[in-house]
Amino acid sequence: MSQMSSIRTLFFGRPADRLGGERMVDGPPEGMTLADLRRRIAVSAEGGAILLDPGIRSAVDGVQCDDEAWVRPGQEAAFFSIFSGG
Amino acid sequence: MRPGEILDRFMSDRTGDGAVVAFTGLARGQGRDGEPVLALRLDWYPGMTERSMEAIARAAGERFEVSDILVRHRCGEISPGEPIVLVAAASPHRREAFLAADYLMDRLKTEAAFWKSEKQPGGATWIEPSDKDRADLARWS
Repeated sequence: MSQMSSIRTLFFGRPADRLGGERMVDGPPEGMTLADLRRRIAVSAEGGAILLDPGIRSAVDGVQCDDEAWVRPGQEAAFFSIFSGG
Repeated sequence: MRPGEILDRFMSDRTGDGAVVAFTGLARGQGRDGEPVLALRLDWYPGMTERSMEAIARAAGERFEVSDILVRHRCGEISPGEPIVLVAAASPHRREAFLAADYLMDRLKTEAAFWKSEKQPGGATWIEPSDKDRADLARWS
């Protein structure tokens, strides 16, 4: 039997309108790429399709990363629209 | 945020400098579409947002002959007329202080990690950098 672990995932900007500010997303204990996490939320959460918009950026532990970056349980992922600036 | 008080502290005991240039940005009561803005909301990502501003301030310090830089930014809900941002640059000479403050604002307006929305009578709208903001930023590349 495979174990599942959760990744804390934050949303800012337009994704937050659809998904709220934060979700715990179940996944394999070894983690997954941001691309996998993005797809997992897109198919499982109402409004999650916004994450498939290529303009939606991503980060792991507060550092912007591309979609190939790996995120493990205990780390924090984030998806967000382009910065508005100050 | 009280820009006057912050600026007073920034300017105190600054005997080695000949200039301090400061800029305060205010929340407008009118959107790009001309409609009234009831409030501005700035969302931020704790940690990432601070680092984005620190990187901009550090770059200004490396690029211009300044002795000190100040960046203060509000987040959350802001009413029209209230200050949003304060930047200041201190330098032995005025030209470098002007340039540094200008550079700081151009980069903050496009690269600071904030998500800004305008609350208008018909609902809230996300604000993204305008073509003018991008053209202003391109002056420094």
